[in-house]
Amino acid sequence: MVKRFLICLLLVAMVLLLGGCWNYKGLDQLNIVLGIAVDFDKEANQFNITYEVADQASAGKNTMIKSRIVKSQGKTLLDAARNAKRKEADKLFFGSTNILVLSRDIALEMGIQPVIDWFLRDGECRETMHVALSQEDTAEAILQRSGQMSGIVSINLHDILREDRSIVASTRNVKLYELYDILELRNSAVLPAIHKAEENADQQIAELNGIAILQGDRLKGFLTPEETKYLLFLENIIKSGVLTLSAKSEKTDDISLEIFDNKTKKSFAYNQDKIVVKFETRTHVVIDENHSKLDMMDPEVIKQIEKAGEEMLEKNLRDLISKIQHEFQTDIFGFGEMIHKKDLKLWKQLEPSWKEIYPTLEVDVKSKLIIRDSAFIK
Amino acid sequence: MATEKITFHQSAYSIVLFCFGSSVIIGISSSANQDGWISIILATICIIPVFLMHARIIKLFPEKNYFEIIETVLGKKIGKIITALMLWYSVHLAALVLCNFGEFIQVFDMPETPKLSITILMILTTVYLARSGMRSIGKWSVVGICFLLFVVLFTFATSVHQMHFENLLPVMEASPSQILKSSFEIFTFPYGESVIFLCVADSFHKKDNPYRVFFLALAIVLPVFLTVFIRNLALLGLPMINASYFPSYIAVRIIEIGDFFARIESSISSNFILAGIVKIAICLLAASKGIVSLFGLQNNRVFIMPVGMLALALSSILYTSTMEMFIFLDYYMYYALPFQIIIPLGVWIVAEFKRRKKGQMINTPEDASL
Amino acid sequence: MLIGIVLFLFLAVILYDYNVYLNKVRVQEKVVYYSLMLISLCILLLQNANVSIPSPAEAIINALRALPGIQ
Repeated sequence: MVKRFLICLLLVAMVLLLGGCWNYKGLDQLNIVLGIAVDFDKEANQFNITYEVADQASAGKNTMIKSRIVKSQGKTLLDAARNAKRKEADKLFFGSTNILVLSRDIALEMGIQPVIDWFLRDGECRETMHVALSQEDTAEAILQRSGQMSGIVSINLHDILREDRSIVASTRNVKLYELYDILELRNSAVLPAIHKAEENADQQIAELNGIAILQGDRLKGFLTPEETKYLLFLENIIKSGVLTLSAKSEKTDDISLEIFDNKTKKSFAYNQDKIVVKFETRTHVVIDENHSKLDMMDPEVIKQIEKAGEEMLEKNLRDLISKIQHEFQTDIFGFGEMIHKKDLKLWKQLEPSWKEIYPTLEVDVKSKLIIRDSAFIK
Repeated sequence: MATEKITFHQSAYSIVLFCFGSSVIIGISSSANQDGWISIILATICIIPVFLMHARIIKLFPEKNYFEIIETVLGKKIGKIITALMLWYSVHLAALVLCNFGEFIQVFDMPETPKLSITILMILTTVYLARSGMRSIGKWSVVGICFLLFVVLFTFATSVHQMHFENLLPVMEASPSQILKSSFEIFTFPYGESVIFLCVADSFHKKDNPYRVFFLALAIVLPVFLTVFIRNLALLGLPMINASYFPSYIAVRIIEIGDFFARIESSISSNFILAGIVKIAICLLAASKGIVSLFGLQNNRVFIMPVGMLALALSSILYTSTMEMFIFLDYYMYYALPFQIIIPLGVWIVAEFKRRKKGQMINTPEDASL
Repeated sequence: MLIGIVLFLFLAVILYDYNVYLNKVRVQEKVVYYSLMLISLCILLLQNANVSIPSPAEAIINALRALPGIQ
């Protein structure tokens, strides 16, 4: 009997210690942050951070959840996050943050590494958060909704980024942990670029606009969505997209090829002190739009279109690589990493002077286009 | 009092869970960077002679625990000193695992909860497990190993589409000395700690071949370590692994399938708990047997609780921060060497020597002194 | 607060053990039991009362550093 009583006492004691009651947070005490935009104010020497927060007050059974904007300032990122509590009833909770938008100025001046450090170090932010760069003056502009637009900007952007490579292939989405790895391994990075586009007369909407190229962790330049498509080819991550070309080498494109599958093989050869990097792409496409009067049932026409497509693809891929090599001079494709992984001895020789060697590398591109069918009609 | 016996499979599985104790969560040593898998295989090869030695000691003294063997072989005076040393090592090891667990829960789950309340709950549970006897630990190991293997395989299978196996290249980038140092670290933590099993070896059946027990355990541990290492490296990439305190946890955090399947990292925490309590319980059992042997007492079960409280007290003063805990891991391999290798080696050599002299099995202190 | 938890824990544990084990063992075992509990109680109380207790880990690291070849 006494034993049972003592066991109950012990159990009660354990229950008191259990459940993390020091750390218990009810859902109504959380301000769920869906997206973050980070700006840095040089004059005031502080971070201006914009949080898009789920508006729990307006949530009802039948209404969709809306979001509202919370702005905060602080000397560091954690400082700003805590300062928000000075005007918010609930503490900010970062466990569901979908997207992080950095401002162009941060990428140009202080570099993104210090900012990323906090998001990786803090326990609440998840490492699978998407990171993007704003092409507007501030990152805050991206998260602002204008006019009567509904929907949560962060979640929209997250969905757009996640499905981009399977639909439109206009940007390279990057998760936080991938960004950290790439910065350490290649000393360069690629971030999706977002700008504001005119939707209606008075409304602006956040739109993906290619990618930003970073050398080290500083911004170097941007690529257009068209160029980014070819970058996705080279990185072997494109899942779908459109190739437009002209079958008879005319100015206006009159054929649309829908990409269904692509495999890119990357390799390098080292002969007589020269390194040649080889890309071989193999793409399955479908003719989805035909403005020309050509007959799709004619095998000669198909061959002609394939050949024209291959030439166009090869030219664009070569142009892109040349631009990255000579204009940007950043190793975003990881040529150095490839040599490091495949041929350690060679890499040890090249590593000290890799910065000078990189622009001189020869690149060879071979594309193969296979037209699967011409959709529903001949 | 009569010691409980566990079956062949139960003993092997408890050794497996003992080895997994802290390693599945801390991740397996990475000073060799992406060549860690070579270190793991090398450490496994190096532990084989040590396991042979442990099994031989058990075979020479069937159904006796380590402290009785020490007294039998080395005599009373030296025996008591060595017993005290092994007793200290068991308590220290229990405190180390408690610290690992406390730090892990505090850093990752509940930063505001004081470590003491977490470790109190942990130690009370393990004291209960240890008090229920070796048989309960054996049965628990059978269940625990199924769950543990399931979680490891499941997390591997659901993350294959996110893996980049080229993170394992280039092979042999680390210098041989780095690989050797890394394998030495793995050798002492966690393989070498199985010397504690000698302390509870009186629970092995006489008819069970101890060689087969240890090798079955090794045959399960090696593939799981390799799987965990490859999964972590292929998912996270080298820079993230080097930056993380607990790579396994971070690796499983990023697993996502489609829109609906994510955030399964709590399975890794539960793995840690399942294996961790076995490790601490066996250390506590070993320590209580040590006390019985040291002071010439009889009932070892009553001492499990004070030893547990001692481990709790020790764990609260050992480190003041997570960084200190990881710095100590660098020195642990030198500190553990006497306990894991030198003492068993001495015991084994003297036992063999005395056996040759006598020409038969030694069973009691009287036999040894003849 | 933690001091209260520690005291409560030890009280509960000793009360429980008293019934189950302690009235069935010999005097020597009781002595060892209580002395071990006393040591751990003291360490825990001092630790939670913010008295700094030297950590064995520090001592081990210093001892190892004194040996040649280890840094």
